[in-house]
Amino acid sequence: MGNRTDEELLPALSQGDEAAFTVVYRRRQGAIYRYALQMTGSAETAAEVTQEVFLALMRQGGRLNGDRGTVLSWLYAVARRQVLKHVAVERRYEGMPEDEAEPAVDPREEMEHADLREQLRALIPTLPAVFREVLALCVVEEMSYGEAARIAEVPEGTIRSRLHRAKAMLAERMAPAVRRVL
Amino acid sequence: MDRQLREWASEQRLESAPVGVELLLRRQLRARRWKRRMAWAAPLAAAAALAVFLWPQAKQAPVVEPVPVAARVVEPPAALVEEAPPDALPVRRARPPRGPAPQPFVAVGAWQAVEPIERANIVRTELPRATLARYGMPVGAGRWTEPAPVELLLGEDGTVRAIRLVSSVQ
Repeated sequence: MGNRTDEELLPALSQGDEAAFTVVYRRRQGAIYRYALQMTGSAETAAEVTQEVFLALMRQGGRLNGDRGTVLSWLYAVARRQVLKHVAVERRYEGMPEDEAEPAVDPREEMEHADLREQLRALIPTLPAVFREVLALCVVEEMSYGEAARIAEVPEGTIRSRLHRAKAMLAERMAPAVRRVL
Repeated sequence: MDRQLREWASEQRLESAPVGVELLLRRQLRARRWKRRMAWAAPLAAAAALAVFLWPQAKQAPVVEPVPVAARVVEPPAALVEEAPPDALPVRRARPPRGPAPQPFVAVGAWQAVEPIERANIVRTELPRATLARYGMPVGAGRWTEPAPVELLLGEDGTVRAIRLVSSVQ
Protein backbone atom coordinates (compact mmCIF):
# COMPACT_ATOMS: atom_id res chain seq x y z
CA MET A 1 0.00 0.00 0.00
CA GLY A 2 2.94 2.29 0.71
CA ASN A 3 4.06 2.29 -2.92
CA ARG A 4 0.68 3.35 -4.26
CA THR A 5 0.03 6.98 -5.11
CA ASP A 6 -2.39 9.12 -3.14
CA GLU A 7 -4.79 9.01 -6.06
CA GLU A 8 -4.66 5.19 -6.18
CA LEU A 9 -5.51 5.11 -2.48
CA LEU A 10 -8.62 7.26 -2.91
CA PRO A 11 -11.08 4.33 -3.27
CA ALA A 12 -9.74 2.74 -0.09
CA LEU A 13 -9.91 6.11 1.65
CA SER A 14 -13.55 6.48 0.71
CA GLN A 15 -14.23 3.12 2.38
CA GLY A 16 -12.67 4.39 5.60
CA ASP A 17 -9.62 2.14 5.22
CA GLU A 18 -7.37 3.03 8.13
CA ALA A 19 -4.22 1.67 6.52
CA ALA A 20 -4.76 3.79 3.39
CA PHE A 21 -5.49 6.85 5.49
CA THR A 22 -2.37 6.32 7.58
CA VAL A 23 -0.20 6.03 4.45
CA VAL A 24 -1.55 9.29 3.01
CA TYR A 25 -1.34 11.04 6.36
CA ARG A 26 2.26 10.06 7.03
CA ARG A 27 3.23 10.97 3.50
CA ARG A 28 1.63 14.42 3.51
CA GLN A 29 1.26 15.63 7.09
CA GLY A 30 4.73 17.18 7.16
CA ALA A 31 4.12 19.44 4.15
CA ILE A 32 0.73 20.55 5.42
CA TYR A 33 2.00 21.14 8.94
CA ARG A 34 5.01 23.15 7.71
CA TYR A 35 2.83 25.22 5.42
CA ALA A 36 0.46 25.98 8.31
CA LEU A 37 3.39 26.68 10.59
CA GLN A 38 4.93 29.17 8.18
CA MET A 39 1.63 30.86 7.62
CA THR A 40 0.44 31.10 11.20
CA GLY A 41 3.73 31.13 13.09
CA SER A 42 2.19 28.94 15.77
CA ALA A 43 2.95 25.25 16.27
CA GLU A 44 -0.32 24.79 18.09
CA THR A 45 -2.36 26.38 15.30
CA ALA A 46 -0.40 24.42 12.70
CA ALA A 47 -1.29 21.16 14.45
CA GLU A 48 -4.90 22.24 14.58
CA VAL A 49 -4.92 23.09 10.87
CA THR A 50 -3.29 19.75 10.03
CA GLN A 51 -5.96 17.95 11.97
CA GLU A 52 -8.73 19.86 10.21
CA VAL A 53 -7.23 19.17 6.80
CA PHE A 54 -7.06 15.42 7.32
CA LEU A 55 -10.48 15.34 8.91
CA ALA A 56 -11.75 16.92 5.71
CA LEU A 57 -9.96 14.19 3.76
CA MET A 58 -11.67 11.61 5.94
CA ARG A 59 -15.09 13.15 5.28
CA GLN A 60 -14.73 14.12 1.63
CA GLY A 61 -12.04 11.76 0.39
CA GLY A 62 -14.64 9.62 -1.35
CA ARG A 63 -15.75 12.56 -3.49
CA LEU A 64 -12.27 13.46 -4.71
CA ASN A 65 -11.53 12.83 -8.33
CA GLY A 66 -7.91 11.93 -8.92
CA ASP A 67 -8.17 12.97 -12.58
CA ARG A 68 -9.00 16.57 -11.71
CA GLY A 69 -6.00 17.26 -9.52
CA THR A 70 -3.67 15.69 -7.02
CA VAL A 71 -4.67 14.84 -3.50
CA LEU A 72 -1.77 16.98 -2.31
CA SER A 73 -3.03 20.10 -4.07
CA TRP A 74 -6.48 19.46 -2.59
CA LEU A 75 -4.93 19.14 0.87
CA TYR A 76 -3.09 22.42 0.37
CA ALA A 77 -6.30 24.09 -0.75
CA VAL A 78 -8.06 22.97 2.42
CA ALA A 79 -5.07 23.98 4.51
CA ARG A 80 -5.03 27.39 2.86
CA ARG A 81 -8.68 27.95 3.71
CA GLN A 82 -8.01 26.96 7.29
CA VAL A 83 -4.94 29.16 7.46
CA LEU A 84 -6.85 32.11 6.03
CA LYS A 85 -9.23 31.92 8.95
CA HIS A 86 -6.34 32.29 11.35
CA VAL A 87 -4.39 34.82 9.33
CA ALA A 88 -7.47 36.95 8.77
CA VAL A 89 -7.49 37.52 12.49
CA GLU A 90 -4.00 38.95 12.18
CA ARG A 91 -5.24 41.33 9.47
CA ARG A 92 -2.21 40.56 7.42
CA TYR A 93 -3.48 38.16 4.82
CA GLU A 94 -6.75 39.88 4.00
CA GLY A 95 -6.31 42.24 1.09
CA MET A 96 -3.14 40.37 0.20
CA PRO A 97 -0.79 43.26 1.01
CA GLU A 98 2.20 43.13 -1.25
CA ASP A 99 3.90 46.00 0.51
CA GLU A 100 6.11 45.38 3.41
CA ALA A 101 4.27 45.43 6.70
CA GLU A 102 6.25 47.05 9.45
CA PRO A 103 6.76 44.51 12.28
CA ALA A 104 5.53 45.49 15.69
CA VAL A 105 9.01 45.06 17.11
CA ASP A 106 12.03 45.82 14.99
CA PRO A 107 13.92 42.53 15.03
CA ARG A 108 17.15 44.19 13.86
CA GLU A 109 17.85 45.58 17.31
CA GLU A 110 17.34 42.17 18.96
CA MET A 111 19.66 40.20 16.76
CA GLU A 112 22.78 42.29 16.46
CA HIS A 113 24.93 39.49 17.80
CA ALA A 114 23.05 36.53 16.37
CA ASP A 115 24.30 34.63 13.35
CA LEU A 116 22.81 34.96 9.92
CA ARG A 117 20.68 31.84 10.15
CA GLU A 118 19.17 32.97 13.40
CA GLN A 119 18.48 36.36 11.87
CA LEU A 120 16.72 34.77 8.95
CA ARG A 121 14.68 32.57 11.26
CA ALA A 122 13.62 35.64 13.18
CA LEU A 123 12.91 37.76 10.11
CA ILE A 124 10.79 35.37 8.05
CA PRO A 125 7.81 35.37 10.43
CA THR A 126 7.74 39.16 10.19
CA LEU A 127 7.11 39.05 6.43
CA PRO A 128 3.56 39.51 5.13
CA ALA A 129 1.66 36.25 4.71
CA VAL A 130 1.81 36.18 0.91
CA PHE A 131 5.61 36.17 1.09
CA ARG A 132 5.71 33.57 3.83
CA GLU A 133 3.46 31.44 1.66
CA VAL A 134 5.72 31.62 -1.35
CA LEU A 135 8.75 30.81 0.80
CA ALA A 136 6.93 27.81 2.31
CA LEU A 137 5.90 26.46 -1.08
CA CYS A 138 8.86 27.29 -3.31
CA VAL A 139 11.76 27.17 -0.85
CA VAL A 140 10.77 24.72 1.88
CA GLU A 141 8.69 22.33 -0.24
CA GLU A 142 10.71 23.03 -3.42
CA MET A 143 7.64 23.33 -5.60
CA SER A 144 7.75 24.67 -9.11
CA TYR A 145 6.25 28.08 -9.78
CA GLY A 146 3.38 26.37 -11.52
CA GLU A 147 2.54 24.10 -8.57
CA ALA A 148 2.81 26.98 -6.12
CA ALA A 149 0.65 29.16 -8.33
CA ARG A 150 -2.12 26.54 -8.41
CA ILE A 151 -2.10 26.26 -4.62
CA ALA A 152 -1.88 30.01 -3.98
CA GLU A 153 -4.47 30.59 -6.71
CA VAL A 154 -2.44 33.27 -8.45
CA PRO A 155 -0.63 33.41 -11.78
CA GLU A 156 2.87 31.97 -12.03
CA GLY A 157 4.28 35.42 -12.61
CA THR A 158 2.92 36.58 -9.28
CA ILE A 159 4.64 33.72 -7.53
CA ARG A 160 7.90 34.56 -9.22
CA SER A 161 7.67 38.23 -8.29
CA ARG A 162 6.60 37.47 -4.71
CA LEU A 163 9.57 35.20 -4.24
CA HIS A 164 11.88 37.83 -5.61
CA ARG A 165 10.40 40.48 -3.33
CA ALA A 166 10.53 38.21 -0.29
CA LYS A 167 14.25 37.68 -0.80
CA ALA A 168 14.79 41.38 -1.34
CA MET A 169 12.94 42.24 1.86
CA LEU A 170 14.97 39.75 3.86
CA ALA A 171 18.21 41.03 2.41
CA GLU A 172 17.24 44.58 3.17
CA ARG A 173 16.28 43.80 6.74
CA MET A 174 19.35 41.72 7.33
CA ALA A 175 21.79 44.22 5.92
CA PRO A 176 22.42 46.36 9.02
CA ALA A 177 22.88 43.37 11.27
CA VAL A 178 25.07 41.63 8.73
CA ARG A 179 27.24 44.68 8.47
CA ARG A 180 27.73 44.71 12.24
CA VAL A 181 28.47 40.97 12.40
CA LEU A 182 30.84 41.13 9.51
CA MET B 1 20.91 34.95 0.75
CA ASP B 2 20.07 31.83 -1.25
CA ARG B 3 22.45 29.72 0.81
CA GLN B 4 20.91 30.92 4.09
CA LEU B 5 17.44 30.29 2.72
CA ARG B 6 18.40 26.74 1.69
CA GLU B 7 19.75 26.07 5.18
CA TRP B 8 16.63 27.50 6.72
CA ALA B 9 14.49 25.34 4.40
CA SER B 10 16.43 22.21 5.40
CA GLU B 11 15.72 22.97 9.04
CA GLN B 12 12.06 23.55 8.29
CA ARG B 13 11.73 20.20 6.53
CA LEU B 14 12.42 18.46 9.82
CA GLU B 15 9.21 19.87 11.23
CA SER B 16 6.19 17.62 11.35
CA ALA B 17 2.85 17.45 13.09
CA PRO B 18 2.82 16.11 16.65
CA VAL B 19 2.22 12.37 16.97
CA GLY B 20 -0.96 13.11 18.91
CA VAL B 21 -2.60 14.45 15.75
CA GLU B 22 -2.20 11.11 13.96
CA LEU B 23 -3.52 9.19 16.96
CA LEU B 24 -6.51 11.48 17.25
CA LEU B 25 -7.30 11.26 13.55
CA ARG B 26 -7.09 7.47 13.52
CA ARG B 27 -9.39 7.30 16.51
CA GLN B 28 -11.85 9.54 14.72
CA LEU B 29 -11.61 7.37 11.61
CA ARG B 30 -12.50 4.28 13.63
CA ALA B 31 -15.38 6.12 15.29
CA ARG B 32 -16.68 7.24 11.91
CA ARG B 33 -16.45 3.70 10.54
CA TRP B 34 -18.34 2.36 13.54
CA LYS B 35 -20.97 5.07 13.18
CA ARG B 36 -21.35 4.29 9.50
CA ARG B 37 -21.80 0.61 10.32
CA MET B 38 -24.38 1.45 12.96
CA ALA B 39 -26.16 3.82 10.59
CA TRP B 40 -26.58 0.86 8.25
CA ALA B 41 -27.52 -1.60 10.97
CA ALA B 42 -30.18 0.54 12.66
CA PRO B 43 -32.59 0.71 9.69
CA LEU B 44 -31.93 -2.97 9.06
CA ALA B 45 -32.91 -3.82 12.63
CA ALA B 46 -35.98 -1.61 12.30
CA ALA B 47 -36.94 -3.34 9.06
CA ALA B 48 -36.45 -6.74 10.67
CA ALA B 49 -38.61 -5.74 13.62
CA LEU B 50 -41.29 -4.47 11.26
CA ALA B 51 -41.18 -7.69 9.26
CA VAL B 52 -41.56 -9.74 12.42
CA PHE B 53 -44.51 -7.58 13.43
CA LEU B 54 -46.25 -7.75 10.06
CA TRP B 55 -45.54 -11.40 9.24
CA PRO B 56 -48.41 -12.96 11.25
CA GLN B 57 -50.85 -10.44 9.76
CA ALA B 58 -49.65 -11.09 6.25
CA LYS B 59 -50.06 -14.79 6.63
CA GLN B 60 -53.44 -16.30 5.83
CA ALA B 61 -55.51 -17.23 8.84
CA PRO B 62 -54.48 -20.73 9.79
CA VAL B 63 -56.96 -23.50 9.03
CA VAL B 64 -57.66 -25.25 12.29
CA GLU B 65 -57.90 -28.93 11.78
CA PRO B 66 -61.04 -30.23 13.46
CA VAL B 67 -60.34 -32.48 16.34
CA PRO B 68 -61.19 -36.07 15.56
CA VAL B 69 -63.69 -37.57 17.88
CA ALA B 70 -61.29 -40.19 19.09
CA ALA B 71 -58.39 -37.79 19.47
CA ARG B 72 -56.49 -38.15 22.67
CA VAL B 73 -55.46 -35.27 24.85
CA VAL B 74 -51.71 -35.32 25.17
CA GLU B 75 -50.22 -33.94 28.32
CA PRO B 76 -47.31 -31.56 27.78
CA PRO B 77 -43.98 -33.15 28.64
CA ALA B 78 -42.91 -32.47 32.18
CA ALA B 79 -39.58 -31.15 30.93
CA LEU B 80 -41.30 -28.15 29.41
CA VAL B 81 -42.84 -27.24 32.71
CA GLU B 82 -39.55 -27.73 34.49
CA GLU B 83 -37.68 -25.47 32.06
CA ALA B 84 -39.93 -22.47 32.65
CA PRO B 85 -37.94 -19.36 33.62
CA PRO B 86 -37.55 -18.92 37.35
CA ASP B 87 -39.23 -15.52 37.35
CA ALA B 88 -42.28 -16.78 35.48
CA LEU B 89 -45.55 -17.09 37.29
CA PRO B 90 -46.09 -20.53 38.77
CA VAL B 91 -47.84 -22.84 36.36
CA ARG B 92 -51.04 -24.17 37.80
CA ARG B 93 -51.80 -27.45 36.17
CA ALA B 94 -55.35 -28.59 35.74
CA ARG B 95 -56.39 -31.22 38.18
CA PRO B 96 -57.01 -34.54 36.44
CA PRO B 97 -60.59 -35.78 36.59
CA ARG B 98 -61.36 -38.17 39.34
CA GLY B 99 -62.34 -41.74 38.64
CA PRO B 100 -61.54 -43.94 35.69
CA ALA B 101 -60.66 -42.37 32.36
CA PRO B 102 -63.63 -42.07 29.99
CA GLN B 103 -63.92 -44.68 27.30
CA PRO B 104 -63.48 -43.68 23.70
CA PHE B 105 -66.47 -42.73 21.57
CA VAL B 106 -67.88 -45.41 19.30
CA ALA B 107 -69.31 -44.32 15.98
CA VAL B 108 -73.05 -44.80 15.51
CA GLY B 109 -75.07 -45.73 12.41
CA ALA B 110 -73.79 -44.40 9.11
CA TRP B 111 -70.84 -42.75 10.86
CA GLN B 112 -68.81 -45.91 10.93
CA ALA B 113 -65.68 -44.06 10.08
CA VAL B 114 -65.61 -41.10 12.37
CA GLU B 115 -65.09 -37.98 10.29
CA PRO B 116 -63.70 -34.81 11.71
CA ILE B 117 -66.58 -32.52 12.53
CA GLU B 118 -66.44 -28.78 12.88
CA ARG B 119 -68.79 -28.37 15.77
CA ALA B 120 -70.30 -30.94 18.04
CA ASN B 121 -72.28 -31.12 21.22
CA ILE B 122 -71.96 -33.68 23.89
CA VAL B 123 -75.09 -34.62 25.76
CA ARG B 124 -75.09 -36.80 28.80
CA THR B 125 -78.05 -39.17 29.22
CA GLU B 126 -78.97 -42.76 30.01
CA LEU B 127 -79.66 -45.57 27.59
CA PRO B 128 -80.68 -49.19 28.11
CA ARG B 129 -77.62 -51.43 28.13
CA ALA B 130 -79.21 -53.57 25.43
CA THR B 131 -78.95 -50.54 23.12
CA LEU B 132 -75.32 -50.18 23.99
CA ALA B 133 -74.71 -53.81 23.24
CA ARG B 134 -75.93 -53.18 19.71
CA TYR B 135 -73.04 -50.85 19.19
CA GLY B 136 -70.56 -53.43 20.45
CA MET B 137 -70.23 -52.08 23.96
CA PRO B 138 -69.63 -54.61 26.73
CA VAL B 139 -72.68 -55.28 28.81
CA GLY B 140 -72.73 -57.62 31.79
CA ALA B 141 -74.92 -60.64 31.72
CA GLY B 142 -78.29 -60.11 33.35
CA ARG B 143 -78.07 -56.30 33.12
CA TRP B 144 -79.66 -55.85 29.74
CA THR B 145 -82.55 -53.83 31.02
CA GLU B 146 -80.58 -51.56 33.32
CA PRO B 147 -79.98 -48.01 32.14
CA ALA B 148 -76.37 -46.94 31.67
CA PRO B 149 -75.00 -43.37 31.78
CA VAL B 150 -73.67 -42.40 28.37
CA GLU B 151 -72.47 -39.36 26.45
CA LEU B 152 -73.84 -38.80 23.00
CA LEU B 153 -71.84 -36.86 20.46
CA LEU B 154 -74.27 -34.86 18.34
CA GLY B 155 -73.30 -33.37 15.04
CA GLU B 156 -74.27 -29.93 13.79
CA ASP B 157 -77.46 -31.40 12.31
CA GLY B 158 -78.44 -32.94 15.66
CA THR B 159 -77.85 -36.55 14.66
CA VAL B 160 -75.98 -38.86 16.99
CA ARG B 161 -72.52 -39.47 15.65
CA ALA B 162 -70.95 -41.41 18.47
CA ILE B 163 -71.59 -42.74 21.90
CA ARG B 164 -69.54 -43.69 24.91
CA LEU B 165 -70.05 -45.06 28.36
CA VAL B 166 -69.27 -42.82 31.25
CA SER B 167 -68.81 -43.52 34.87
CA SER B 168 -71.63 -42.42 37.12
CA VAL B 169 -69.09 -40.56 39.27
CA GLN B 170 -68.04 -38.22 36.42
